[in-house]
Amino acid sequence: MQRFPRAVIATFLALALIVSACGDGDEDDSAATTAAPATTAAPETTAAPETPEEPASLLGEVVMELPTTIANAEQAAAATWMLWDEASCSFVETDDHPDVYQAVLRKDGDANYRFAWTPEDNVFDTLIVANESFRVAAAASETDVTEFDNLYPSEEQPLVVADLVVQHDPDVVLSMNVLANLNPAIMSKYKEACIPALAHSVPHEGQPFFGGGEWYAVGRASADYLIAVAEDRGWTTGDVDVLLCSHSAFVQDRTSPYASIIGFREVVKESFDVGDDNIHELECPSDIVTDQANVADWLTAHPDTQNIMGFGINDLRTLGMVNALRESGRAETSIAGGVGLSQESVGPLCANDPTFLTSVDFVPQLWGEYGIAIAQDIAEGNPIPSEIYPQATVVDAASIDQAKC
Amino acid sequence: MSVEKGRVVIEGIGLSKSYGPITALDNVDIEIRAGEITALVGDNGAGKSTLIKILAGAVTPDAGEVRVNGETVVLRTPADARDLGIETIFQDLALAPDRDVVTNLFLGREVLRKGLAGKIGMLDRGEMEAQALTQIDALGVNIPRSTGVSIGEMSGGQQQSVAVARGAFWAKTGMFMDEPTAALGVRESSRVLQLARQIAGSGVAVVLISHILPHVMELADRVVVLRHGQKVAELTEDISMDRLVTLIVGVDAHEAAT
Amino acid sequence: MAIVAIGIAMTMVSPFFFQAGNFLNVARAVAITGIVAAVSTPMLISGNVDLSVAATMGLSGMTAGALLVQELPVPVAILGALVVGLLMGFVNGVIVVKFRVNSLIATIGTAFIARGVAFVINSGRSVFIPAESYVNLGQGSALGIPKPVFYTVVAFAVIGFVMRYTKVGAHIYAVGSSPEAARRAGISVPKITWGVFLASGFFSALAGVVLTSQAGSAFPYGGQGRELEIIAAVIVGGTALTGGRGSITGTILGVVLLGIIANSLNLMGLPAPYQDISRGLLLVGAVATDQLSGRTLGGRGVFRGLRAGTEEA
Repeated sequence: MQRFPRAVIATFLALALIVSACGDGDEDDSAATTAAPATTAAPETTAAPETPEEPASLLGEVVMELPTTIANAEQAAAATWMLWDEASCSFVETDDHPDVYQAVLRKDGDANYRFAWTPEDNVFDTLIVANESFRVAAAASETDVTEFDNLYPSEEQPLVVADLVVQHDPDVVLSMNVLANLNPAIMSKYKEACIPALAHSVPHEGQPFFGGGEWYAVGRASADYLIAVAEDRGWTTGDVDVLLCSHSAFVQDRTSPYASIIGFREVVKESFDVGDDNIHELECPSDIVTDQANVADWLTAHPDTQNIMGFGINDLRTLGMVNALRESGRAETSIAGGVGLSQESVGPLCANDPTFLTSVDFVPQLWGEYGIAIAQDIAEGNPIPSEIYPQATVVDAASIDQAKC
Repeated sequence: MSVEKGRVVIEGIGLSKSYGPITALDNVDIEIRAGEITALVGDNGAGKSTLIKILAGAVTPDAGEVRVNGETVVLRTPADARDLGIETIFQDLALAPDRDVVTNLFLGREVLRKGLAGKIGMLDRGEMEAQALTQIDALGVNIPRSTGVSIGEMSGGQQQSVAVARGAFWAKTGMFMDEPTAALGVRESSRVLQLARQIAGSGVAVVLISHILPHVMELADRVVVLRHGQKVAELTEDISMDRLVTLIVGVDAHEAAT
Repeated sequence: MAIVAIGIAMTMVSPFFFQAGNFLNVARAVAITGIVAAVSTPMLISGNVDLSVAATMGLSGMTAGALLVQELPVPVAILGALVVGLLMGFVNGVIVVKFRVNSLIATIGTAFIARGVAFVINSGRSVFIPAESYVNLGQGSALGIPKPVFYTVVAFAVIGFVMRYTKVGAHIYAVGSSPEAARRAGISVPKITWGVFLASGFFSALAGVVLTSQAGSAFPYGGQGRELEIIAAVIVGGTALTGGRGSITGTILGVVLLGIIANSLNLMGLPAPYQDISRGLLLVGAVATDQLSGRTLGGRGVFRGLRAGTEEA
């Protein structure tokens, strides 16, 4: 019994050492970030009385102009616009808005905004890219952005993070929590603390929403592309079977990546007239090789199919599917598309693979730029559309950025 | 069969061992003779097991020396003792219950095939089976002759018989039996003790530790009595129950000088 | 017997089951699991369990991928992956042998570490494998048989031989059956334990190489979740979790049985959750039947058919 507490103490000591070792680095950082406001604090207090005209922004020069989200008055009128109302600690809808919305990343200048970004995690491919984009954008715009990891799939951590954020008291929080059932609790914490929150990836009532990828549109765009290829090859509706590689772990609604499957299915039905009997949704647990095995089994059970149009919920699944098609000798009569423009699609696209033809880039590498720019708008009290989606682009062998190859 | 019966083959001279403040063995001399059964008796904590473990290489003494066949030896591990032909049989945990008789008989001393096959560690299963059967027959032990029956499926007496057969198979010099019948019934016990007699008869020096004094009196050629880590008596004749009990519990300490 | 019964049942349910091509599907699907199940058999027989096998697959696969991206030759990449596997085995051995930590706990710990490192290697991103000669090791067929199957056959043959015919195999059984008896018989329990962990690391790494070459991509969560599937296959094959008993023949049957179940449910178009349910039922059923019959029939289970060669090995 004596050994137990000793072991616990030893473990604590070890942890304390590790934390303090890591903490050293943090201290330097925090010294830097706290030093910055200290020097700029003086001009701020003197500057405030000098600027009587309210709308003048303290933000600096433009760093990056992102693709226009709302291009004209017609689109602008159709959208709902909101702005942060400090008095009610909530977003209020407004008709007083411009005809165009474009997120523009500016230097922080004398505004001294502090933002918080709470990503789903720091291990998923897309989020590693996105988190890096936040760091790059924060550095380029000289903005104070603090990252709090929600440690997906933890059910506790998002709530812990919300409390930490409240303590941190940023001007705007970009809340990416994909466990939808936790969002009411998280958002009420922010409302109580009067911190404006941009809902990232999963929408929340009364909150502006940044759609990460517009999965539904992603699926539709991929289907459009593959149908064009199929028509080009002279395939007809009757000789095509559609294989969808999905996974039962995904929530089957419009806000989850599963929406890409919904979008894809709709387009092949609408534009290519494929019937439900010829659309097959397979279980792909995303181990590439297991996905391959499952698709191979399906192919064995369906020896009479002629042409196959495949779509995976992400590139990993599409690669497994393509491997199965190749090994069963159907590479020539199959076409497939993925999502994410990750390594699994970059490789085949660069190599001009005859089957793996396309992937959709939903630009997680720009999430940081988008996010900080939108947060700046919110902090400035500017009206923004209630739903903002980054522009996703279909990439193929011809259009892929050769630098990635 | 009996070779040089009575010759001293294993000697302990001035053996001492302490565990912290407790003296387990205090300057004990012992001589163990070929072809004899030497019984080691004494109360719990008298030092019997410590003494046997020192002679079997399982415990290193603080002082004293061990001689085998007249030569001073250093026994660092049980393997050192085994290499000198000294085997120990315990009351339990000595066999692999999921393995069969042949595997257990050759456990740790497997026979390998000749040539290249042996170099890569291939077992000569046929040779081992043949030798095992010969040994079982020679000892007349009642254990299933079929291979492939795991030890765990046998009775306690059969298991201990296998352990004794294994000891006898490898013991060229001495065989130590530490409470070999503790977990056995009456009939099974007598079978195991009979084996001990048989093995001594083949010229091996057998040492028996037992609490069961009738067994000791029936079997032993020589009885060494230990008390509080010291040797208090060594008897070869007139071994009576009363005398042993007296010596073990130490009521009449003067009789120690026999 | 169980396999034949299920085979007949499946042929009746799906006409596609009993086809040469489909058997190749099954073989390809179980190849990677098979390699690790092969080495997990002596692991369990020795009385230990290695839950870091799947993470080792991921880590070694990422290692190979990272080396290939640096344009190092394919043999170097494979060697690197195998060395990482041996290193994992060595570390597991140190923790279990030197620090006397229960192998289950030790390998849960090292699994986390390995998986974490696999993510760190390329910042969590996967690596598309550029070397065609590497990909050719796992993709396609030779002599009409999917290539991954060859590695599995070699793994089963080598490990099966060692377990059945060699001194090392006999010592592994002895250590698992009674470490104390083995120790008293002069067998070095630490050496055997360490050796088993080294082998486990090595073959897991080999599986990682086959996984990444078959997939054409190295991804940090490669193999994730397979550890339980692997142990299930070994246990269904009659190897005792408590050590001392088991056989490679049994494990082959266990692996194939689980593979056939997944395959036939796929052929029938049954969704994945049902596969999990059947796999679970099979595992619980097999072990429970064995346990029950073991009590009444003197240690011989109904599933003894799956345990061919257990005692003789």
